[in-house]
Amino acid sequence: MLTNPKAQQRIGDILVTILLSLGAVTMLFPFAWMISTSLKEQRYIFTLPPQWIPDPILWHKYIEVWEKVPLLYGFMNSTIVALSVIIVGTFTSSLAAFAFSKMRFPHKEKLFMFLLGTMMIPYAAVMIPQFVMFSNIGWVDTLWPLILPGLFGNVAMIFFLRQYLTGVPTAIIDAAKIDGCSFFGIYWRIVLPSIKPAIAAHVVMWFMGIWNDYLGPVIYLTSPRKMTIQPVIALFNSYYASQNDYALIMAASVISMMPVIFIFVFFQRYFIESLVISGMKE
Amino acid sequence: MRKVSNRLLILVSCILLVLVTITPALAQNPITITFMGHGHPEEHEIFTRLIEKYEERYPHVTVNYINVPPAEYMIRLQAMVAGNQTPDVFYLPAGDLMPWADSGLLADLTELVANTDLFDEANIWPEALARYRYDGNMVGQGPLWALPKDVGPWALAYNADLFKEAGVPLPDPDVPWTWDEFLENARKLTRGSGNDRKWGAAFYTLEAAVWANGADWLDETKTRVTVDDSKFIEALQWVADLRLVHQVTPTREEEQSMGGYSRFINGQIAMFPMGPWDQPAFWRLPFEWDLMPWPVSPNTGKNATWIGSMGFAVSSRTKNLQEAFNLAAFLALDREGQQLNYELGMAVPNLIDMAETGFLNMDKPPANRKEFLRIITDYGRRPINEYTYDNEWIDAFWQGVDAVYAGRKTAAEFCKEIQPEMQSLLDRAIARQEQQRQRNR
Amino acid sequence: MQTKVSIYKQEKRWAYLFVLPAVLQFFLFGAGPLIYSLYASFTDWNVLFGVRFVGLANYREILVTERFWKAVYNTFFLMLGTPIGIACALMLALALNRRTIGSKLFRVIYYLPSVSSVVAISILWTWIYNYDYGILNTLLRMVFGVDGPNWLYDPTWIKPSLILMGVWRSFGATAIFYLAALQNIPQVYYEAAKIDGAGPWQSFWRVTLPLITPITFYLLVMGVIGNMQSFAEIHVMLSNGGTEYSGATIVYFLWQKAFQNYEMGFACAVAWILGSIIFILTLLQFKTMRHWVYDGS
Repeated sequence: MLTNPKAQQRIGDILVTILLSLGAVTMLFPFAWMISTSLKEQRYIFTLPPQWIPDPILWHKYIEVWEKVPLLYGFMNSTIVALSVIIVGTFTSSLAAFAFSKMRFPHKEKLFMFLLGTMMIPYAAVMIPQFVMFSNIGWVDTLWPLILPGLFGNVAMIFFLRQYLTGVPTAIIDAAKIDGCSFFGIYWRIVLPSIKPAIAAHVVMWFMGIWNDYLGPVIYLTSPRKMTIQPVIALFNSYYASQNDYALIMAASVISMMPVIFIFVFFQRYFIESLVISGMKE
Repeated sequence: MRKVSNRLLILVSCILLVLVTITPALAQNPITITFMGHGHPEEHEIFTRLIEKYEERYPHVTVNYINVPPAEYMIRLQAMVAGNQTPDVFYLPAGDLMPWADSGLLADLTELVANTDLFDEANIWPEALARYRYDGNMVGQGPLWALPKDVGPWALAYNADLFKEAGVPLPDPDVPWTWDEFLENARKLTRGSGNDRKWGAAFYTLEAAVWANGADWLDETKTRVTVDDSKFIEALQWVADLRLVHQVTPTREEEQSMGGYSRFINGQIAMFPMGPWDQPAFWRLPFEWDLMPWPVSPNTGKNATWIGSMGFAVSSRTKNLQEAFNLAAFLALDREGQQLNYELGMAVPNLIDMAETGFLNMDKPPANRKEFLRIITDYGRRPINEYTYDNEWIDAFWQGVDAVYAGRKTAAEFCKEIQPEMQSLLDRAIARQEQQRQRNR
Repeated sequence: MQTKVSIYKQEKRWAYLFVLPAVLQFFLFGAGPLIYSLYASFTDWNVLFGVRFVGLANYREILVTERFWKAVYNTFFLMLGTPIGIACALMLALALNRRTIGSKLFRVIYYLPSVSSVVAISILWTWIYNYDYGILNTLLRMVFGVDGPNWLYDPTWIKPSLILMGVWRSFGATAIFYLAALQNIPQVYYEAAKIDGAGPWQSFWRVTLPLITPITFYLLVMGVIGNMQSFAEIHVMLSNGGTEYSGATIVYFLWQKAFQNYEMGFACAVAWILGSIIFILTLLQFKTMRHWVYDGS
């Protein structure tokens, strides 16, 4: 009976679902603890065995976080940085990726290695000179140091899209060239649609990176109204950790995670269900 | 007629109001002072209030207060110095004083303190100021480079309920125990098992033991590492044996699983060291607690502990030295701020008269608050790293000493082994100090 | 012939235009600080005293610093997390790609750890790894009846603990890249393989695996670049580099030197040594690439 491919498929699916569920439990375990801790009374946090469903359930930590921390500005500024960088940066990165993977020009490989090389020096070593540079322009306590460099693209994204594009047949692009299609036209009509799933996947990661960026904002921003989300939360954590108020810290972390999860849920249909958009795969 | 006089009155008062608000502004050009620190929310609130008060008193000055998460504070400060944006007033850890003072980035406050009418120098704990003096060679003497934000005596607290349960008489606030009495009582206080397990003491502060025994990490010139001294070794072994032999403190694994702080809070530890900043949390404890004097070494009959501190430094690059100094003085020594500080249980006042009256007479635990003051005036010392250019030599010690606490090495073996490594790191720090000082001349 | 040449000329011009922003980014924002840090590595630069040229002194001193070598060893040890994470991610992506019931939900769940902040994750795992009270040791005791090690304090277990946490944290996110790559494989290849009589196992080996090598290559290269610079979790979870410095990485060592000890020049030299190591590793990967990475033909 196992010779029937449909049945085989189905048994496989069931097995996979069971395994995935088991894995999901271990992935969720810590988060369940995180949420449950955020709802617990202080003295029940370190009990053995751990108390999974808090009794009593206290929601007030969430209200407390909201009152104690200028979270709203944090959300706003992080969103401004993330949106502007990702929208413009994705455009510039995908153009460069197209050039690096499908176009011919001298010193292509060397130039690419050179760009990749800039990621290899730890940030700690360039942080101070970079601060000096931006402070000379007068950009300290503005969002510009966080936004502007990102507008010119992201080397990781260029690399990823370049790798992804190797799977897109060069023949189609060559054909378009012969047809007299402009290079920007090729990018816009052929390349861009075919790398949409890759872009969606990378955007999700990039958004997360910007959202969780901590050191940059801590160095460049000063006034509370210009702060992004992570330094705001860190300022708050550092104090409450010394007070062992883990409920409050966990509540703050849960709140700060929400937007990223939302973005993920929104984007995932693009990198999963956008199969064969242009029909060019066949 | 009546109407006219009314109008006139309004007009005159308007003009007066305008004049009142404008005059000081006309007299002095408006200026802005930047102040950077890493205050936690309550400290932030107090400072905000003090800054408002300061701005009322000096209406031409606006203060820009930057609050940075503590872990990244020094990085941010270094970035700002490099970017030529050094804050006018900023937190400076006492342990970092030497390189900062040598670099010429700090304003010498000696003259300003002598001439100010904001406070009386004689009313500040001499020790609180002394640690911010540095003559280019030794800390504790010479020009003054910062004002103390606080003075933090590291005291020994005890859980009175546990003492009563174990039938141990409460410690006399005036007569310190000897080490032997400490051990004997700690043994009696160590009882029970499982969740009911109680320990006599948390891990014993090593500085308190070493100094009390007449030893130290460095010699008097602060150039030679003296951890191989027999009195040092004896003190270290005594501390390790409290855990390894006598088992009156949690084991190393237990300590790593749940720190002494949490265990003390849970009522599992009878004697635990604390700083004044622990008071607000301890006020919420369901048991009775108080301070006891640190035990004395049987060899010397003396006790010792450390006093922590953070300073307010003024940048030498400031364009408004007097105003910046005044702000530092306000934050460090203003009576209202100091009072708020101790009432909230954050610190011991820097002002002697306030510490000896208001602070001492507060009706909150510890009842034996004068132990805090006794540490400041009598047996407290500066942490050892304040005498050297960097901490690498002492970090090597702290990284390795775990072997003694775990029982893998004896104190004698460890100290003999680590001394040369510490010495070479210290020599490196001294060489750097020499180099930088010469460059600066 | 004529047209071909002109197309190439045009292509060259357009290509330069397309890569211009990325190159500009380097020259506007990256070059200055990078060159300065290279220069600073030959000085005893710190923000308090400025720079003074010392030649190769920093490099010479690094080579005889015991803690640096410890950090190098730890860093390479932690690199084991890269291939482990990639393998786990591939398996996860294959499973998620079957689109069984709830696979949408699963994707969110597996992605969760990578979205939360390092601080929250680190607090969480410090608790999981707790010797007496942690869930890991509690589970080991309950299920297998063994006493677990003191994960974050025992020098032999610190690094495996960090690797496990790192894999857990990032493999869901890595799987997303694979998911996108799996979409890129034309269905016809599978159909062709089926006609040739290949079972699911063979078509995985002959179609799926080769066609996703470009992404595997990307993940390896970026994994090396990223993991060689790991720092944040060590900073948060271990004090002073962990027992006997057995959790400290090169970047951690550099960080201590730069910001606790005011030895920026020395730290820059460490940074450039690390940068060179990473560059060599990356170059090696690019050199061996043509032997195993599918290039579109």
